[in-house]
Amino acid sequence: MNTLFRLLTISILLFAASGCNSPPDPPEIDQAHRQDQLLWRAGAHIFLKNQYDDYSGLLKQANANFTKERSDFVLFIDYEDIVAEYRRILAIGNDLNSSLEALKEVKFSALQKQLSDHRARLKNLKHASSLVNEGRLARKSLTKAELLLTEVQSLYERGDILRAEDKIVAVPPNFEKAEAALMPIIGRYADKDQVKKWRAWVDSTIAESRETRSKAIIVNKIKKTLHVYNAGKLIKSYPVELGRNGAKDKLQSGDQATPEGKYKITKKNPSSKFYKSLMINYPNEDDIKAFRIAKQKGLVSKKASIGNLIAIHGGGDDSMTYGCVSMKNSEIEELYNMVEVGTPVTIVGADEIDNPIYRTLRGS
Amino acid sequence: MKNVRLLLIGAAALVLVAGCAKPPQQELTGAQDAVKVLSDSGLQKFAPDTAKKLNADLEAINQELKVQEDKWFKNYDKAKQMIATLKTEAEGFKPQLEQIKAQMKADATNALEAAKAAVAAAKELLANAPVGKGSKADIEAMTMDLTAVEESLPAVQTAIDSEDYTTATQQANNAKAKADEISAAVQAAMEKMGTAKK
Repeated sequence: MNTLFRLLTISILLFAASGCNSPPDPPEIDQAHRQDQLLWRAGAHIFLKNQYDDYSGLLKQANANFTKERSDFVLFIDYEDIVAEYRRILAIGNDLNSSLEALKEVKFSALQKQLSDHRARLKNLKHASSLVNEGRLARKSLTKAELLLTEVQSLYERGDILRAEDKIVAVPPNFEKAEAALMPIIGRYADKDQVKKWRAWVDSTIAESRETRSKAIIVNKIKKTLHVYNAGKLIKSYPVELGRNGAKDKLQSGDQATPEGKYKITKKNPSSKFYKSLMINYPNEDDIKAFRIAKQKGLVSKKASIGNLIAIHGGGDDSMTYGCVSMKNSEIEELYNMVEVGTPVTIVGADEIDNPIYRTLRGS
Repeated sequence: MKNVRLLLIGAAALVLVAGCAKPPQQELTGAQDAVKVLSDSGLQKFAPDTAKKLNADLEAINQELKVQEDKWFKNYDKAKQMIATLKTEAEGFKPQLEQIKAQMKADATNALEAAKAAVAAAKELLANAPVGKGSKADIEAMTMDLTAVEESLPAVQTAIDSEDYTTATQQANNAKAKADEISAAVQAAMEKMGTAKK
């Protein structure tokens, strides 16, 4: 009887004690929970939602299995299967982390390329805008694009790829607006037929200079240069400034565009408002014809006049004009003494297709 | 035999007493409420790591409660301790969360004010810049730049209003940097012109 009593007492004591002292939790459980935290923090729930949901589901199931096992009578608790289950989850988590890193790398690279392409496009358009003095319409859109790009760059640097991807799509529409504003002006400079026509004017002017063994002036609008030829040979080059809308072809009075065509010096003025000036025969026959057509087509108002008084004058090569070609006083002085009334003056937009605007549009 | 009976009765009483231990529901509700208060204050948005941790702690508490519920001899001491810790942490984090939010809001608001001031300064400089044939195009271009900067500022306020302070601060700083750049360009142009006059 005493033996039975002792055995029963020991069993009850063991039984009671066991309820309070479970075996320690396997370390894999804590490792798995830490891994889950790290994956979440790295954005697995955003970038690889389905895979992360599967992983989380497995982890929850493992937690439930662990809870069930832990609820067992202490002597019957066996964590072997639980440990194996958590180890499988840890392996899945490691794979998920690798996939996440690879995906983020791809996204980062794609975003970086987009940023780089957009920055290059912004630079080109800004350059084109400054080449043709078109800051009114294009610059606002370009600055908006610039601000957006700066914001995207910050998001990219912070690793906030999703928001960066979301933001960057707002950039191209601003480029398109800027291009729409610039294209009517710069499009001609990338038009091969137009450039061919200008090149023909230049070639015929140089040929004429060679044949007549006389001087000729060629103004290149996009390069903002004035070349002086003598007997077909280049003897002098000067930097010049043009009209406010100098990149455009002059069509009417007050458009502040610099005319394009083959002209001649009609008058030399030694005491011009802008130091000294060489008046040219704008409008010539071609200009008058173009003006009439424009009027017929309603491209200019019925009251518009064609304008005149286009000259090469002094006043500086860093100031814009109302359509004339402007040079430094010291240089107009030199040119003034070099040429005479009747000297051909050919003004072209560009003399080669590989001009700065073409290169800008091509992105090189 | 009498001893055996007494022992069995004692054991049964022990089982009954232990088996009847109740889960700390009231304490749990208190802790859950403390976490909810934080969630309602933007915990997920302003302190996502803490949000994740507190949720994980809540889940761990639920696991512990389940373990005890399934046991013959229930012991909720560990669960109670976990609940108390969570509640203390959640309640303790409330002022910290408010502080984080207040600081971020102040930073964003200050950044916006600084951007507005920079735009105003650039505007004033542009307005006083000498407009001649030479500077007209540059001034026009810079004026349009500044218009774009100014037009970006309402978005900063919208971001502040929607408590997206990080974005707001970033946008405001970008706007300020651009406005400062314009001011510097105007200043440089004015100085150049001033030098040229000499």
